[in-house]
Amino acid sequence: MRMLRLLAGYVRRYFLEVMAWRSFLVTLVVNQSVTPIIGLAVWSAALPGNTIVTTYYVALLAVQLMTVSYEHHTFSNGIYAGDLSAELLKPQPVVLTTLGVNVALRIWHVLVGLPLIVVAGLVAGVSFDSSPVLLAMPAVALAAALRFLFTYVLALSAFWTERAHGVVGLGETLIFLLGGAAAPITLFPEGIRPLGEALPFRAMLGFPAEIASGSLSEMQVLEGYGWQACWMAALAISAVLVWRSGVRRYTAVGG
Amino acid sequence: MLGHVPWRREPGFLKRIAMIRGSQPIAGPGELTVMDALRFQRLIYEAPEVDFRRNLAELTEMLGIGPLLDRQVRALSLGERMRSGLALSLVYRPRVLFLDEPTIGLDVSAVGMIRRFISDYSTQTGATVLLTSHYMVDVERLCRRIVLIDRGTIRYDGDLEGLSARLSPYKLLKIAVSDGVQPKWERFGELVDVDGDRASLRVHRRDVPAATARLLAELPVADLSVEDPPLESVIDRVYREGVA
Repeated sequence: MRMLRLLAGYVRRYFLEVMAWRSFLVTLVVNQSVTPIIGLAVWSAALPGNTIVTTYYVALLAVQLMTVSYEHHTFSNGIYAGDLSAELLKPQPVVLTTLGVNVALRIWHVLVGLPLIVVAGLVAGVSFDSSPVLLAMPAVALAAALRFLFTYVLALSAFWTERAHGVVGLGETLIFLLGGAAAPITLFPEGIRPLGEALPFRAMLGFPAEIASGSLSEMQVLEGYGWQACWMAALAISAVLVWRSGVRRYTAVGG
Repeated sequence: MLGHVPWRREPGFLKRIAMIRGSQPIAGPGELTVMDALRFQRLIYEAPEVDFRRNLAELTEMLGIGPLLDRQVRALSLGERMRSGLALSLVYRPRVLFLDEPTIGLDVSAVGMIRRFISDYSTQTGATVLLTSHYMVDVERLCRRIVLIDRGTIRYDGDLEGLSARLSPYKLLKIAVSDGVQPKWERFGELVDVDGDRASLRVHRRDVPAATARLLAELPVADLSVEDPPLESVIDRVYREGVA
């Protein structure tokens, strides 16, 4: 209960902090929206009349904004600058502050990006059914948690290397290629589709959009949730182990 | 420390210590007010509301931060940030306070105010203050016990007088003479500096009484003082030559 109160406090504080970013925030949202919008344009042209793929990419735009993660900026930089020292002295899990920033940023991304989602939906002539959207909600929450954990684990590489931004960038590229942004997993060639479905990248991005666009059967939805649960456990354990190992290497010099 | 192993980060331990960095006294969102930060600090450290109010009232008085409470952190000067940062770190009454360069970049009056506060706070609450500083004046004014650490090894642990005595068995005699005399200063000690009718002599501690008596007997002394060498030179010598 105390942790939830603290998390809510961090979200509130950083929500107010980010409010002052204004134009920079718009830039961030536009940057995150480019890939799904290009995907929408390209795949609409490649598969004219396919309403599922257009619906998928509009949903993907929303999922992208709801799951965006910047832990290489909000956490790795703290390791490099020595700001982690102050966090280590607080009587709370260190990840709580990073999670608070993450949630605050996502709320802002959704708020600022909402007009973009609506316009994209109207231009593409997309309409959503309520039941698939409701079915996708838990998947969005799991995808958000997975992407945070994934980016956080990669950002922890800052304990070992000064190239944590590059490491997280590599992860982002994998999410783009194999998460359903470059191409929907459902359109992958038969031979590699099972691999795409099993990898964690789809669970972080494409899977909720696939559910919302109505492109999955009940069995496929269940399988997808199963994969999300598996990767959640794997990434949570990884985050704990990598943190414990990394924090022992942490040193900070100077004021 | 305090019966705990620091790296275990037990909440009971972390709630009893505080650290302030002089270069960044307040972390977190700069858009919020000092009062917002204080309120959130109460939440993090689970300070009871009654204690929080009482401690805050005391700190507001001691640090003079009343006018700062409703101002945004980003709008504060460095001196104001340091005072607010001290209030943030002390509002939950830690038993051990780590101060890392608390006077860095501050103007003269702010430095004096911070030094007075640290001294008063330590006396009033009995809290232990660990001060890390490159400013030897901070050390001279505030520290009863000095620990010199060089590449992870403790080179000295004791009081300031003991450090001076061990490292520099000499004192500085500063003399001014009248009547335009030109003394042969080398007869009284090692000449460090001479400027007209003023001179500084380096004399071994055990020879100071005799040298002083001779100076007063043989020269028309207008002024005479016996001083320890500057702390900066003593510390510098530790790191260059080690402690004997």
